[in-house]
Amino acid sequence: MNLANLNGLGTVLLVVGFFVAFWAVAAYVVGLRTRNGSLMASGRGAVLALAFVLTMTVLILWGQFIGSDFSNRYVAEHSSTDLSLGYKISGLWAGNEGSLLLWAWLLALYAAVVTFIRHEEGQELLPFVSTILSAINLFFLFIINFLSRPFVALSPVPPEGMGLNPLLQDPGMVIHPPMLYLGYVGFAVPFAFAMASLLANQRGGAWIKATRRWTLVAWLFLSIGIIFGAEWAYVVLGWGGYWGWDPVENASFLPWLTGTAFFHSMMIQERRGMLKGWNMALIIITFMLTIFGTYLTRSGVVASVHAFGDNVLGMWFLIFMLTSLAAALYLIISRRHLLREEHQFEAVVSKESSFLLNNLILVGLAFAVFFGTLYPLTSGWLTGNKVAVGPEYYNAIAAPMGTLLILLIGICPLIPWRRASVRNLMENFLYPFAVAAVITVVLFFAGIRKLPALAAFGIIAFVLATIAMEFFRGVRVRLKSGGESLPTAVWSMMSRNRRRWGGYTVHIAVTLIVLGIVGSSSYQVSKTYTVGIGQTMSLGGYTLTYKGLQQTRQGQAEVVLADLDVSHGGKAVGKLRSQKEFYPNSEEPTTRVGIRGSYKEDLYVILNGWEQDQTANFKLVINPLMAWMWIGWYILAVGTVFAAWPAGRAAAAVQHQGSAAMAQSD
Amino acid sequence: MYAVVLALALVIVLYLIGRPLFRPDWDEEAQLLQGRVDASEMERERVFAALVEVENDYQMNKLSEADYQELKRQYTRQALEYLKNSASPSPAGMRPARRKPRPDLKQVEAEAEAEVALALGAAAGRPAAVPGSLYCPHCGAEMLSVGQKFCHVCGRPQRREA
Repeated sequence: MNLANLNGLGTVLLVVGFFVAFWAVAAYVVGLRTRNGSLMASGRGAVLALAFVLTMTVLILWGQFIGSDFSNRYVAEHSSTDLSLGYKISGLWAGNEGSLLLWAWLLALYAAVVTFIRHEEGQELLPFVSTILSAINLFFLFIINFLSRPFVALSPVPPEGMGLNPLLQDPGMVIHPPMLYLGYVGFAVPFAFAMASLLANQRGGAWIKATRRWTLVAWLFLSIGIIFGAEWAYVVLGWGGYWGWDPVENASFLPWLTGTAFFHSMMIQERRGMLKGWNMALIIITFMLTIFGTYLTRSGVVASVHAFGDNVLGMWFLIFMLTSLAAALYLIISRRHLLREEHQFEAVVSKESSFLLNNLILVGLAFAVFFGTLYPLTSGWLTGNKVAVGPEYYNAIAAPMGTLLILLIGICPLIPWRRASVRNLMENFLYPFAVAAVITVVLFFAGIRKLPALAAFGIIAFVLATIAMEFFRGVRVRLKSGGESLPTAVWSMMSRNRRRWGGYTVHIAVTLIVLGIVGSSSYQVSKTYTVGIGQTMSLGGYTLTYKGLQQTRQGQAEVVLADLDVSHGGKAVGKLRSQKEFYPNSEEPTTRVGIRGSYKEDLYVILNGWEQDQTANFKLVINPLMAWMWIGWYILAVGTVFAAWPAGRAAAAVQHQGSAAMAQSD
Repeated sequence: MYAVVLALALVIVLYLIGRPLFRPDWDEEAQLLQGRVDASEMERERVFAALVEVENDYQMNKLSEADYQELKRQYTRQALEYLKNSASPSPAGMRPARRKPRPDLKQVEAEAEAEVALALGAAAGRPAAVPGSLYCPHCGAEMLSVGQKFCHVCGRPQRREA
């Protein structure tokens, strides 16, 4: 180790980090067993020290990227002097070693925040939680120190780096991976609280309450990560479209699905003391799936456009995943008496049962995606031939299950806890059903004749109508009580019950996302043209006039741009540019599509190729309702932030809905 | 220079880890394990939250009149129990430093009812609805007089019969 350069300093700090994490685990374990406050406090200090040390190492690596210090092999392999600052910073997570360091760093930051902020509930679990988070980080620090080192020195130092993979040179690279990592790592917190409650022999649902906000935060980051990835894959060809059911895409979708199931079913435990074992299982599965995603990306067991592929690392992740799973299952089995249900389902039609159905669909969909993702592996084991399933498999499963899920989004909020009466169902569902029926009929006569799409639009109308009805009823109740203006009534109603109204906002967002998916997949039209300069192409009312090619240089890339004038209904509406980028470190060019978007549809133009005389080949695509998908995701983020935002005192009382009261009422 | 940076980092790490070890009176963490939130306080909050939810569900037409009345009666009874218990003197051996006079039972009940009404008022988003005050605890309508026995809007009684 040579302390004369940053590689040496970074390496030593990572070793220090490993021992600090080890000390945190050891001090907490011994402190908890002997009730030694000083040792536990030392463990607490170690959690903070680890965050400090890893922040230093990350800053050092960032400094090397920004300063183009190619004496570091990782920097030389993922950067070059002509990269913009954003891409240099993104170099941290462009490869295996850096992304694992990012994981460890984020986990250390999460652990420090969890350990040092005051939790209204579950505070007594913190020593256990900090131990578990530090133990997880110990594994990552082991990997970074011994198997995937980010500070390996190169000698002689190359004059220039190899640059960033061209497919990664997109603004999405700055946001998409760190958001996903924040989501993945964030799920370690509720997992740690769940395990802590078992270790502490806690029967109640304190861990559920303590982790509600953490779960939402992790889920929010994961959602943002997924949306930025989808937007990136939509504008740059090569990733398989906004959603290509690629194994690593699936790996991010899996914990999202089970995480969604978890924060729905946790409400049942909070209110009714039910589904305790199910919630434990869900958060364990969710955490395991975040590790599974990392395993999938690094093991090379399945082919993916996202994968790093390293068999040795993959094996270690598999060992860690199986060990963690075995430990979690042992805890659940040995402490199963703590998970005894306080209630049973009282009626088939109740909020509890509708939530359970929602959970079963989400977990069923997760299982189907998991099965499809690993099919190449299992088929290889069973038959000797690796067979991958295509998007058709996933779409065939996701479409009906997704439709049912959306329908439940409309039904669940209108059903009361415990049991629903026929009169209640009639009164609550009559108007939304009528609205949905009218809209479906109108759409049918407007030309929407594809049955699955028509059914989906009808269900979306039903869901939006139920939420609108809830909203108006709530506002009316407040206005009837008098003394409030309409805006005040709306705000106080929503802010008093952030979880409910944040949840409704997310539900609206999900329906908009589905609207975009159904519209763009059911009514997509496309046409391919080969045209010379000045010639026109037309599709769906648009006319595009090809104006010729230009060649330019953008950073490392040689870029060929095709300019097009766009008119709609005979009226000029603007210009469009589609391009191909040629990077020196890649044989394949990167295709960046030209998009003209509106709330109605996206005109999507792909430059396929060209001849010497500038005759060019284009593919024109119209993706109806695409914009609603993106709008939906952003509303989802807003709704989640609203739901997770700390409530005021009055609102906290409303949100503080526990199971015990319901328990005693039976 | 990097050796100096490393040395400084090590000093900070050792300080954070080592400081509690040299203070044997450090019992903050041990207290944390014992300092669980008062269970009865949590139960009370939950009962009030349930009351608020029942009121919300009823007003939003999610509960039948019969279910609403039944649930409300149950939770109100529980809420009153918690409030009475919290006002009663501490168990033997746990007396507060200054002995307070034993509260009058009727006064406790009145205060409890007021607090329940306050929670229900908050659920419906109306002003504090205290029995005997200027607002009906059921519908939030403003009373015509303080001593009014029945609400002139919803017709429900304003005071419980003894």
